[in-house]
Amino acid sequence: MRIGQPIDWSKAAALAGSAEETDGDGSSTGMSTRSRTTAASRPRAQSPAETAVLGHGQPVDWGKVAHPVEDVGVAETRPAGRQANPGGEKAARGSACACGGPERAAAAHSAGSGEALDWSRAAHRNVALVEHPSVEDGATVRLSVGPSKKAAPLLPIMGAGFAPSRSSNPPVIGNPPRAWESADWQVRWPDILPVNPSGPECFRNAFPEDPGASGLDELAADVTFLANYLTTSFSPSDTASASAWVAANPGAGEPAATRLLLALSDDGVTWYKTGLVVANHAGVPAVAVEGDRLYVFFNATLDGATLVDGLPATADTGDPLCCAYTTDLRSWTYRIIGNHSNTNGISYNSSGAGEGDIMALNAHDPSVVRSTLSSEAGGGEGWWLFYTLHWDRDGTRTSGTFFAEAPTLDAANWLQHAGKIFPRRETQGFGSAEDPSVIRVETATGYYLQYAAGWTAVDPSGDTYNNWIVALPSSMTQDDLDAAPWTLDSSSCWSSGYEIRLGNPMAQSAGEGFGVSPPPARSSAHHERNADSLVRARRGSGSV
Amino acid sequence: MPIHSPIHLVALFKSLQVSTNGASTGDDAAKSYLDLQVPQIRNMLPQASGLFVVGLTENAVATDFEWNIQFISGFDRIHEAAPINIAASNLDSASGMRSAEYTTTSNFLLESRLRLWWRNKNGISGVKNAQLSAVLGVHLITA
Repeated sequence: MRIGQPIDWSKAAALAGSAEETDGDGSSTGMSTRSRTTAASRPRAQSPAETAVLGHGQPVDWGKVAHPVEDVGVAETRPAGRQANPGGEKAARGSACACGGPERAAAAHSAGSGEALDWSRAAHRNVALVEHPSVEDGATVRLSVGPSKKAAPLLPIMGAGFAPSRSSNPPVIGNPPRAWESADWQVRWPDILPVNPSGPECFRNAFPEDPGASGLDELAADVTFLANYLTTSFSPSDTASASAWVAANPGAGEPAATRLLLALSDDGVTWYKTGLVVANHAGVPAVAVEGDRLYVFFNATLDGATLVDGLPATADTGDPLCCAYTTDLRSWTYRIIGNHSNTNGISYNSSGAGEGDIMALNAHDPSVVRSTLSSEAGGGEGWWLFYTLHWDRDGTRTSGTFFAEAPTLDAANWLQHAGKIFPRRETQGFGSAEDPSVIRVETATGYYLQYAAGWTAVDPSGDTYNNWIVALPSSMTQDDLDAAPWTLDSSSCWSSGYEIRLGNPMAQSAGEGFGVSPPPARSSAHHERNADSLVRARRGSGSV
Repeated sequence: MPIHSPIHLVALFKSLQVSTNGASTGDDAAKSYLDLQVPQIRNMLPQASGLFVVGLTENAVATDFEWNIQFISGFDRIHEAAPINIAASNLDSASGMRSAEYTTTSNFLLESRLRLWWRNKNGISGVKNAQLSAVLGVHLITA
């Protein structure tokens, strides 16, 4: 399209003054072949008012271009004959997003950019959910990580809002410290607020070019995050039909009354809400990247038909665990992973539950993580899929966290592990646990492959939503996988220095609640305390 | 007909000199490219749409450089690619700058990178030390 507006380029002449030169063979002599992020060229936050505006037919005011977005102050010249291979180029030159080579993409947990991921940096770039409403934007909190009896865990949990006032607790992103051991995180309130919150969910966020640097302004890669939103809050183009459904089904909750949409961010705080609908009547997303596909596992509501567009027709009802994948963020392919009739996906092993009759097989609240498969699953690299199942325990519905394994995310069947249920009433002494969130973290030594997990648990004697707990298990080695590592005991977890707190992966005090006794009721005064006092480190006790 | 807002200049590519010895021409000619990270545009202009203005110095035109703009997803897939006909574009005689415009067919804010690449397809000898300056702008299409 040509509009033909004249532009006054007169002030552009000065731009030529900083000329660089490249050789005729294409090799660069004056400019780096990688993105140079200098203080002058580093992208910086810029309001629209700061951008130079070029009106139709108006001269360019080059003075306003003094502070452009300049991450492009780089020229690359590819030698003749080399075929374009953007992924390979990035791996070779270390792109601005510093996400590594394509080989790392397969190890991704979640990312929107499709860029390869570097888990070795995850220790410095994780997110955390702060449940407490008194934690203000910009506050500094300190994580209590406990003594490293095995290897230090990370606290990489992001949630989508919690009890008690579920709708008023936004997700909070902790801007992690340079070294997690120092554990000062700055709370950041992102501008993406789930109206209909659900359980915690880890997601892998972007990494800086310099893994040791801190500061979100240095992040360059995309982040994709799929969040639950009420249909009226996110304004996709076709809200009318969804809103009508919600109106006709009063009282419907997640996932029936929620919609899964796509938002993008390069810093985890500021989000571009695309308005793209991933699935209707869906929620609790978990994202992962494998190869050139972005996968989204999510809860969905089926009504004997296909409320989720694209899902195969089924006579099942209920809320099955589903999956959608895409290669371009535009078109999606849908699958049912775990449904009531056990005809898809997960191979259930009810005997493995060991907790009574499973009364509802619908798996939900997924969390996926790249991992090493157990010997039962054939070994090798693959994926763990964590999810929640409900079952009948002594006549009372309860729930627990299970996990299954598969070599690829598009596997036709997932092997559910027998005996890997969590929690176990016999050993943990409490009711239910739901909404697992798992992220793989490598230690500094590289000896352990750690899997820090968070989940919400329900105090059997209390109000469900007032007693959510997020806790962290111990680290584990690959060999632990076959030895029921998710069976927590006091000798390896919080009572030996790990701390837990309500609805928050950040610690509060040892021995409180989860696995020890039902969490105490919280007073309003408690909830109004300053975040620093709530989650300060226990340096004095040697837990940091 | 969409209503175009003023053009927001979102990227200023540093100038560079490019010389070729003529050995590499045609499709085998070396390509140079500049990438603009789309997330930065999103942060600045979340309602931006895809009308781009590319401005180049006049001597870049005279040397028969071939210009192309690409929209690359996070999965390194090129969703759109379009040649830029600088030679047929507007010339500002005072500055020697030319500008051309291109309208994307989809929401470019979903992309990961916006790439401007060029090469001396014809290997004309006079291209040595050509001064290249490029500026990209974005329109906000409001309707």
